[in-house]
Amino acid sequence: MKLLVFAHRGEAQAFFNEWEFLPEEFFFTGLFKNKNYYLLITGEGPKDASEKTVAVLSSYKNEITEIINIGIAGSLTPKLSVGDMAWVRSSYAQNAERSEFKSYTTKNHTNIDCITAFSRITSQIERKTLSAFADIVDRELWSIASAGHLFRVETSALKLISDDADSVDMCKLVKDEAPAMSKKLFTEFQKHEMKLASVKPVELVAKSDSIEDYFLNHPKFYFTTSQTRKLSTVLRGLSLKKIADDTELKNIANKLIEENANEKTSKELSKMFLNSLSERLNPLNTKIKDKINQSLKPLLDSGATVTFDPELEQEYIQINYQVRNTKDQKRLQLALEQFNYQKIKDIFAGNLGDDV
Amino acid sequence: MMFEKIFIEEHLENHPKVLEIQSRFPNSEFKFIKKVEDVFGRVKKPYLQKRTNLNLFIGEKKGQLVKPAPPAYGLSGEPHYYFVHAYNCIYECNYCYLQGYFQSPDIVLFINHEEIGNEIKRLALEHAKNSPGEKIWFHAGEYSDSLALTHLTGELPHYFNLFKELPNAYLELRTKSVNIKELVKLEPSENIVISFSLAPEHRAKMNDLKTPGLKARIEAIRELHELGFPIGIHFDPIIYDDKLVESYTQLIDQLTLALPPEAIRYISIGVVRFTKNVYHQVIKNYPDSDFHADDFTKSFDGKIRYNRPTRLWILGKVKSLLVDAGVPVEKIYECMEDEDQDGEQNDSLS
Repeated sequence: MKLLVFAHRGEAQAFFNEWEFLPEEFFFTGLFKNKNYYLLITGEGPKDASEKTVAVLSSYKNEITEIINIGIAGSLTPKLSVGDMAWVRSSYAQNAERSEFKSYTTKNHTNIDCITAFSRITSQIERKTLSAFADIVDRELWSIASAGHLFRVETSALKLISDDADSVDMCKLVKDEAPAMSKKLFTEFQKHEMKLASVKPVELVAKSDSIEDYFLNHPKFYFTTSQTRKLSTVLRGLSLKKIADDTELKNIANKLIEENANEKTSKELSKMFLNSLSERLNPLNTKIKDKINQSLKPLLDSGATVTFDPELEQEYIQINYQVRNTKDQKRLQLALEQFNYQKIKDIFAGNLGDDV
Repeated sequence: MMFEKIFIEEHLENHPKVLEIQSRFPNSEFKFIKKVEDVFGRVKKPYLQKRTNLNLFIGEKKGQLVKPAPPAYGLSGEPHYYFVHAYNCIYECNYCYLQGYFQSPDIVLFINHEEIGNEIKRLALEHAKNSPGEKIWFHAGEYSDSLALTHLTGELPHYFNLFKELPNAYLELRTKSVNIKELVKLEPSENIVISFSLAPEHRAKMNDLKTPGLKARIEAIRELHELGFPIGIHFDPIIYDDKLVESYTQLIDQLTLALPPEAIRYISIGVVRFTKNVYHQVIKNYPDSDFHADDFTKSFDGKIRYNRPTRLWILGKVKSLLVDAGVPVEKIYECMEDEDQDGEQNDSLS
């Protein structure tokens, strides 16, 4: 469900008139709900906007999927006149003399940036300073976007230009013009929502059909949480590099299951499948690891467990061997004599031979 | 190219270069500010906003105008310095460290070339006095492309004249641009090397976004070589894929047809690497890049690289391809990781 955030009730007037919102019982007044949206009136300024948005998000974080800040803004550029509307691109903030370094960018936007001023802009000098950073100025967006960022909820903003950002009579203006401005905002918002609704079904089809889901739901596989993450990464990599399409991936899985299903558990099969995909994604790494294992053969044949840096970054090997009698000792001695560490050094120096 | 806003330091209002730039961009909005840093980098402007909203800043560089370059810079055994007369680049290479460096993609041009030149001169003369007969190198293009905007910035004649007076000093102009129209008006100089960063055609298309294509770059190399300009080459960053050997073989063939191996002044080879911060920016800015599919690892110094055997294999392989093509081995320098230790400067720019 989307959360619509307004500073003033006047800005939300048309939304109340057109859609039936009921007050939601909460810690403060100003939160409303209908079947599709939450609507929050924060009051003016970044402090109230921040506190109230955070409070609502923390209580309804499982329901709220997106925040949309809707309201008026002052123009800082001649290219925007009173009555123009814009979906904001980036949101900046100015707190007293200082610009806040963090910025927030939205996905659906026009090429208009907004700066949130922590105090009202009443002079041309202030206006000039802010105009270096953005095209419009408001009092809330940056705080709302900051709250959204904190809760990992995407924020967008629809702004209607109400003035040239140097008017001392803002309150009166908002009051007088509120019905017309709110109506304009509502019309644009409704248009935007209808446009989004028309593309939604495509997303749903794509998601339910994903190859990742196919493997995760396959009865012969069991992926642990970390393996699920790895599966996602490897599948994405294979897709980006266009190495294998869905049919090929399914064939790899089917072959592996056919050959091993009787001896292996679902968890083991998943591990083998992931290794097989990784080899396809990074064949050079596989070759390097094969070469290291070949060099380690005398040690491995002796029964030792030998590990090396799985990231292939640090040059070392670690040997684990249990000596229970002199025969074990001799076997290890022989293996160590046959093992040539120089080969490991060569591999880590990039000398991988002619077959690579 | 269009700049939405052009910010100019107030004291430069009547500078001829500023007036010229103003006349070239009549549709831009001009704003006069005290200092570039009052606005530039004060807020984090998303890197990819450069595609739709690029601003220009014109100011004077303050502080240390010429700085010692990190160890992996250029042929070893000679002192290397770099100077900065611009920040940021009009191109959009998806591995570029600038996306994690300045907090803004806007272009900054510093126009106090006299001062920068004086500092270069001072260092070159001092070096000539202390180490007679030895070379000293100065590199442009550390935070920007050295040629891409020269039709606008117009500083090349100044540096060409300066280096004529400094026979022990060498200037490198590093570029991915083919904007050589200002350069070809000048007389080539033995101690000014134009160095081009090249990648195989398919990698250039995938990674060197908004840059001139490989063919155009090679054509610019041919033209400059035929006019007598010394040419350097950078195969840096090399990005691994399973076509690496064949694609670099092809690239070297294309290059040596335009520029005979013996005419290459030097060629550097380096494998792609990122600081952690830049890597995160790359992943964020280019979600469809095949960097997502590569097996990078955090290496000994915290930088993100291919694993050690892979990157050393790449360096060895490309070097042997160059030697096989007739490039004298002493002209090849590898951006070795043991030398590549500090600063962002050694990350992948151009």
